[in-house]
Amino acid sequence: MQEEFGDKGLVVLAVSSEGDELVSEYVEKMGINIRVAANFTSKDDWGVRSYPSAALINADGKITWTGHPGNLSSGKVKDALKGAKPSKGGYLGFSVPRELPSQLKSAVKAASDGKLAKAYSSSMKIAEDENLDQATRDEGQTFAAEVLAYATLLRDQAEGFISKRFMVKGTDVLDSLASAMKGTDFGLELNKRIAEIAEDEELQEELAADQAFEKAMEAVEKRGMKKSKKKFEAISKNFPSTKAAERAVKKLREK
Amino acid sequence: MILKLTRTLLLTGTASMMAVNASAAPDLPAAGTSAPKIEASTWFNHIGSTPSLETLGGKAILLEFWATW
Repeated sequence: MQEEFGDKGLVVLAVSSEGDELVSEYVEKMGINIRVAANFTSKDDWGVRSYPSAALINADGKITWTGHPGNLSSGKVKDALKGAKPSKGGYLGFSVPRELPSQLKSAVKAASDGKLAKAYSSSMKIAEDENLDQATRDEGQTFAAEVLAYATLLRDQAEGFISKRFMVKGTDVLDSLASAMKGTDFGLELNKRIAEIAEDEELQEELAADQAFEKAMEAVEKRGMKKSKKKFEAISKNFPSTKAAERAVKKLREK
Repeated sequence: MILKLTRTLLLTGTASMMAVNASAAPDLPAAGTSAPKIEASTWFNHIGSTPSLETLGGKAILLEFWATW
């Protein structure tokens, strides 16, 4: 469903009340790519009593269907998508739940589309426009700060991936973010960091190992684990001291 | 109706406790009502603000309840 309707504004969330470790291991073992939650604390708010079950929520926050996930039709999903905002920016895009003055319309659209530099500069323009009333200028200032805060959040998440040596993910996010924030001081700092990573031998080794791991995981998806074993063995051999090698060894030990 | 089995449905294979029928899940809120909150401490495969009804405003959400057992 996520693949089919993702860019039309559907977000699939698979939530479990179980703990981090249990869920994390399962997600890794099964190679699950959709958004998964551990320690889901709203189970009782929803009245969940049996698994698996699911609920479809439309763009207005109303439940349009509940039942067994296997019984959800594309038709129901299309109905729920009416009025949903398509995701042009992917994870770079963000929106705020409150109403903003009409002068911020283009900034809001840019933010939603993931054009963060534009969102920032548009809001700052409003903030600095002496012809506008103070309240509107303040809203501009606030939104600009929110854009920056969001970019910071993404950067921190990217660094988190890098520190755990999920290099492909981490560098992808940094690259996308640097592009989205091009022309800003924030963007300049990011470019410095990206250059730093490019010169770091250890990180480049980890990156190569992680890229090989991603390829191996793709092979598992296409041809199954049995036919992909050699790829994981190669990672362990060619990139011996990397985190990706550790994950490859773990993968080889799975039943 | 046979649906395209996406990765999502991998999760359903491990614990198909419910009989496969077309009626609504009896314990979940009725269609037409407002969605209760969505809160969790840890998210996987997600980049950006923590998923919630607020941060996902304007999107349609398919919320799947599952367990590893």
